[in-house]
This record gives sequence, structure tokens and C-alpha cells, in this order.
Amino acid sequence: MFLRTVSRAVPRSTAAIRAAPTASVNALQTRAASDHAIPNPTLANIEKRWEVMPPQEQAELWMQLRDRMKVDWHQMTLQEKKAAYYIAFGAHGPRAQPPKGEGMRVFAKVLQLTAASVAVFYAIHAFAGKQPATMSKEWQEASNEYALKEKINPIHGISKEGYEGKGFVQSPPAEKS
Amino acid sequence: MFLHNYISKLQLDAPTPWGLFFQDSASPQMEGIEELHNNIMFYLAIILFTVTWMMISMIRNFLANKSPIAHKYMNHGTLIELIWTISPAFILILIAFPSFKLLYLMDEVMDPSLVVYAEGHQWYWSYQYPDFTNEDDEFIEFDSYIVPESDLEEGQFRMLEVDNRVIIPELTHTRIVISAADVIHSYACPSLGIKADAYPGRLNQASVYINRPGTFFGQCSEICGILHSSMPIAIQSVSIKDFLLWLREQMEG
Repeated sequence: MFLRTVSRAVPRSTAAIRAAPTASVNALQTRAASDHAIPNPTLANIEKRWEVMPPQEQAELWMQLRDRMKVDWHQMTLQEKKAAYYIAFGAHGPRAQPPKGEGMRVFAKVLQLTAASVAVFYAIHAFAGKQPATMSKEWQEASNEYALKEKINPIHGISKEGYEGKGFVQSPPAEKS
Repeated sequence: MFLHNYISKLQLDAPTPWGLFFQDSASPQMEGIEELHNNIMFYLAIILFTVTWMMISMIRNFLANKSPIAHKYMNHGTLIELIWTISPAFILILIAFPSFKLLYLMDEVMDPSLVVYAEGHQWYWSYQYPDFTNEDDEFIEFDSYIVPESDLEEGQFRMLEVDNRVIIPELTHTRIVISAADVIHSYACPSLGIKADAYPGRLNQASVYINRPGTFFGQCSEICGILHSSMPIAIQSVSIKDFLLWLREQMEG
């Protein structure tokens, strides 16, 4: 399962490999298992170097590691195992760690945009015409009387026996002009 | 009890401020719709809790620092795929059966004692009662326009009040035949559980059986032009005696 996943991960982690001449890639892919360990200096600090490596070099290294993985894995050096794991599953490309403080930056931006939309809402609201006459406490209290007379909402609302809610009242008293 | 009190505050017949739930039902159709809604909400609650539990346990058990190579095993699993394909299908079947049952029950118009013809116009409704004619063979016919804000009496509902209400007797099977004269409108009244498109040149029908006296408001529910919002529907349900009195008044008037 590991090998299968790795082979799928290769083109993803070295996207630029597709740009390389097809012939050379084919040549690389048909190489046989390798019994020779990759020298440690090539693999040292791979976590830091991998992302800055030129794509061709990345492909070369990966192919070498892949050939090494074709032999018994116990024969691989610790460095090779670590490098193979890092290249396939390490925190680079789509798995790269987000930069420090990114969450806060996103949060701040969202807050900023929310504040802006609230400001736009109240700006528009400030220019709106006055509310209709029906949006006053007096009118809505009259609506309650009217609803009772018309037998409106007898199951859960105002005409229910023992109803204690506000009915249609939701606005402050009308301003005296 | 607490939940019931809470829901009571949300429920409404005519729309009330901050109302979030159905209006009080006044017909078997609306009761059926409410029951179907409650049934579906039951499945919805199960789905919500199951999916939430799955999401939370996934997030808790497969954190990057706790299980760093979880993605290595994220390939596929036949059993889980079968479960998440078959169980939604099963839930859909459970929802579909009561839904179709209600749909076909509502489609049925049970031997109506009264027919009301409602026709949508830009932008008012006109009504006819073709069952009753006077000596000159004229039947009751009237237009129902919105009452503008300036003409409302204190307490009346803005944008819902009309000059001539449809009067329907309670406890009577009524067929409402719906059509339009110009563009597509839609005749809707939430408390009665009816909503039927009104097409020019076609007749649509809805069955109504109002089980209590009251006044029920609705609005045109198909965008029909600039005053789409200004062609409300007001249906008043009265006792049969009052209906006959109204009928006589209309015939003589």
C-alpha cells in the first residue's frame, strides 16, 4: 500500500516533472532496483532543501529513492527511509504548514469585512424613508384587538385561550409630531 | 413543556412579527403538511446528529499531531461506502412514502359542495361563485383589491387587507378553481395549505375544507410584475348561516 501511495504522490510533489523531456522521464521510470545506498550527504537535511531544489534534481532524487525502495526495505538506510517518507508525505506542497499567524490574519480580515458590511447597512438605513404608520405600538395594539375580533391565530397565537404573548406588538410608541 | 411554550411563541394564522414557524392550520391539508414536516424533521435530526458525531470524531482522532500519517490510509473501504450509499437511499424512501401519500391525498377534490373561481390579474384577484345565480342569471362576481396604506383602519394589516374578501363557509368541501387573465400568478394561503399556480388559459384546482371560522391571509406567490406584492388574498371562513346571509346580500345587492 505504501508503494502505491508513494507512486501516486510523485507527480503531485514534483509537478514540474511533467515539463521535463518525456524521453528522459521514460528512461528514469524503467530503471531497475538499486542495491547501492544513496550517499548520506545527498539526503542530509532534505526537509530544508527539498522545496528549493530544481525540479529536475527532485525527479532524479525521487527516482533514485524509488529504485532503492524496490529492494528489501531493511536494506535501506535510515536517511533514505526518512527522505522517502518526507518526499511522499512531508509538509510541503499541498501539505505545507500555513505561515505563522495566518489564522489571526484571516480572522481579522473577516472581522474587518463584517464591520464594513454593517457600516454599509447602517449607511443605507440612515437614508431610508420613515417607517409606515403600522409600525407603531398603538397600531399594533389595535391589530391585537382586530385579530381577536377576526379569530386569528386560535391555536398558538393571540386568540388562544390564556395567551400571554405580545401578539402583533413589536414597535416602540409613535413619535408625537 | 418548555419546548412547547417556545414553539407556541413562534407559531402563528396571519403572519405575526418574528414568526418562524407555520401559521395555525385551518384545514386537513395543512395539518397533513405540518405532520409531514415534523416527520421529515425527525429524520433530519438523526442525520444532523450522526454527521456531526462523525465529523467531530474524525477531527478529534485524526489530528495531524496525534495521527500524522492518517492520510496514508485514506484510500477506500467497501463496507463504509456501502453504508453511506444505502442508508441515505433508505432514508429517502422513508421520506418519499408519506410525501407521495400526502401529495395524492391533496390532489383529490372530494365531491365539493361549493365552487369558487379565482382569477389572477395584474394586480388584483377577481372571484366568481358560479353555483349561485339570481333571476337574471347573473352569478356573484367581484374584484378583490389591496387596501392601500392610507385607507387602512387602525389595527388592520398592511399589505394583506383587501376590499372584498372571499367568503367560504366552514366545514364545507370547497373547490377553488384557479386561473389567470394575463400573466402567471399563484394563489396561496398558508393556513389552508394551498398554493396553486394560476395560468392564463388553464384551470387549476385546489380543494379546501376549512375546519374553523376565521380570517386567513395569503399573497400572490409567483412573481407577476411590479405590484406582485400588492395583490394579497384574504379568505374569511364563516358559519353556513352567515354564508347564506352573505349570499343573499350579494344576490340582492
